[in-house]
Amino acid sequence: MRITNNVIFGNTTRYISQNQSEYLKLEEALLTGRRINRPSDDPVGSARSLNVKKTLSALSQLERNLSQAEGFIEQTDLALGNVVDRLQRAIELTTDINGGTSGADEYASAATELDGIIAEVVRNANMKYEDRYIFSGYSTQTQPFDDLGVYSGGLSGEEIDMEIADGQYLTVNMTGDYVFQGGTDVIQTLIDTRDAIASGDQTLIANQLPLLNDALNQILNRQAENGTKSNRIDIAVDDVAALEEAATAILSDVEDVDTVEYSTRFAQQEQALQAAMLVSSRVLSQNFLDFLV
Amino acid sequence: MGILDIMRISVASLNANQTAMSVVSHNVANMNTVGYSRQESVMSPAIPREDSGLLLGMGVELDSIQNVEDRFIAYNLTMSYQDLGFLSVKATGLNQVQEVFNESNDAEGLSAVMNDFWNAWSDLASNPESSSARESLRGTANILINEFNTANTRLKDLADAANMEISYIIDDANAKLDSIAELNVLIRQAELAGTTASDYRSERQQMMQELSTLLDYNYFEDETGMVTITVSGGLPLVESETVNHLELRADATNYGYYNVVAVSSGGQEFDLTDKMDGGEIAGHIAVRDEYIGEMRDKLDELAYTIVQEVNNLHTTGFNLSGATGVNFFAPLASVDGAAGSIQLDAAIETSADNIAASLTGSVGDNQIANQINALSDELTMNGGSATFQDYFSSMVSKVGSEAQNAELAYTHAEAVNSQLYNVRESISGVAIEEEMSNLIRFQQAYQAAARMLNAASQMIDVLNSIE
Repeated sequence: MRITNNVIFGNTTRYISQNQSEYLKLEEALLTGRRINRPSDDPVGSARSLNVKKTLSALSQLERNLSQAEGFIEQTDLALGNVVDRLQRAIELTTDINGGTSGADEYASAATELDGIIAEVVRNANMKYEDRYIFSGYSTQTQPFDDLGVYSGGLSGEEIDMEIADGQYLTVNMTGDYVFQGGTDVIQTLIDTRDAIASGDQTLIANQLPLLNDALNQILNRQAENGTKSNRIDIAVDDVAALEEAATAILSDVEDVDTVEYSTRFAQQEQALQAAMLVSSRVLSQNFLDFLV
Repeated sequence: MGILDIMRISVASLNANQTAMSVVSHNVANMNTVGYSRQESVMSPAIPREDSGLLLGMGVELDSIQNVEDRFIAYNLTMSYQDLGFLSVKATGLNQVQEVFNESNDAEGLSAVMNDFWNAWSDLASNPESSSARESLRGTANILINEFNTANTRLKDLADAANMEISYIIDDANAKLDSIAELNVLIRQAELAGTTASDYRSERQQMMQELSTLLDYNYFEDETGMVTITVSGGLPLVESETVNHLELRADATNYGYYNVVAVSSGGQEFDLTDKMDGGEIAGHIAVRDEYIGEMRDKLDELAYTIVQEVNNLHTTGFNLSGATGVNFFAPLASVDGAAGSIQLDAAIETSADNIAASLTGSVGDNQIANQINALSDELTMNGGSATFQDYFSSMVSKVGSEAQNAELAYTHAEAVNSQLYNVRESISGVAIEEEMSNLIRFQQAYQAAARMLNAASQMIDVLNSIE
């Protein structure tokens, strides 16, 4: 084959530029730390990375939802705990007075204390979390109970659902009618008890005791129900963390450079490039004219 | 046979070798001329003379100066530029298209912004009464809209640029068609006398090679040495000295972009737009109509479906002022252009309180917000087989693999082309070593001929000195 100057020059520049483009690709990967710097670097991997990023983004949203749900449920637990305390105190008071030989002063002071208990219970039944009445169903901006325990919040069935796992929702609220009036009307029971004590009528007072116990049990049950939600949240938090870890690992697998592998390839490519340049400088400097006199 | 014959033969030899040296010097001078085919002087013995029963040689004659060329290789090389031109434009174009959707470097692109958008609905579901969650949702929606608009504009800009490029290339191609027709005439005139118009031929071949980079065409040479250039199944653009130019026609059904037509001398128009698969013009058309066109359609489809799905749910909900039936996005008339025209509904623009999170009308009800957030996992696209994210990811994957394929195909075409180039060079290229050897060869022959002339002259002197 005849070899002409254009072939030699053309081939030399082409080989060097091929080497250089491979060299630059590896350099880019090592500098950015990413295998994929544009979709064409790995079309399937790019799609996968976008999907994993979507998963990660959804997981971090679930984390936010979970902390929101947790706050709501803890606030509910706090309110119900306070109500339990107050009901126990009411039962104590009523038991003390029941069948005893109390005087008018004691009845009066017990009735006053019950007034305080009623106010406390109503206050807790009107508990807010982040400016929302937690026992008011969807009517979160409406105070659910007035001083007489009359309920004007949203009715049972108004469930505030928050997404806590992919496609799974947790009802974070319980409506006031269900908590305080579902079965025993807690506030009404306390009001009746106060009135009975104020009247000093032993029969009336004795009648209130089982009702108070019913009320206490009802709140304790609701508190337990709320507690199971806490457990679900704890599990969901662990799940999200595990999923996040897995997704991050996949993302790194898809996107990140294996430094050892790439450094080795980079070194190899560098050698190849240097060899190409060395050989070229030798080939290009061969000139027949140097040998002609 | 006389001494004068020796002198005549010597002079012919001097002439022939001198011309041969001038051919060498022409070759050396054109060593770097693109498309140049080296020339060779062909010598043969002159017609012998009969003298006293002897057939006497009458020295040398320079028969012709020949173009060293393999026409089959030249044809293949010329045609190989069509692939190269097409694929180079396609690879560059797709590389730019994929950048529009490149989120590899953690750039906040459409995908990330869509995620933020759905998450904002989830935040609203956690706090349906909160005006800050509403404001944040509205802000995120605006970013999403902006992202759609930007991607759409960038695609449109790329398509516009490809379209402009076509108009420049057409001018260039027409100028080359003219040159080829002119060279046709020059070659025919020069070759009527029976010689080979080597330099004109080199120039015409080079011109056709350059045209190949631009245009998908075919050519053949007739017996007069003129080439005919045809496109799309035989329609002639150059026929001997006549040229049918390429022209552009704006296509109202395709964003007003250009169609490429060939206009015959009778004024008849032939649409070539979709009939070419080689050359830069076809490359720009493919990038503009096929690849960018497809991405624009898909982007429109995505934007349109998001608008439809969100509005469908949103209109069933109640906003903070107790109104229902309010759209979130301004309703779109059609899928076409959705990515460019997507915007918030005027009511939402006015106040974020008009965002409907509630199904029942109560302010604490978050059911609509939850439902809209859940859209992100629903199979809303491709006739119910893909989520928004799936759809977008496969768009990115598609444009990525198209760009990757184009790059590979280009590398391959480049290899084929340089292989053919090397073969042509090995036949037609100028090699310094060879030319220098020839130079020395002819120089020595010239010196020898001069020596002969000198000897003949001395012989005459000898004769003259006889008293």
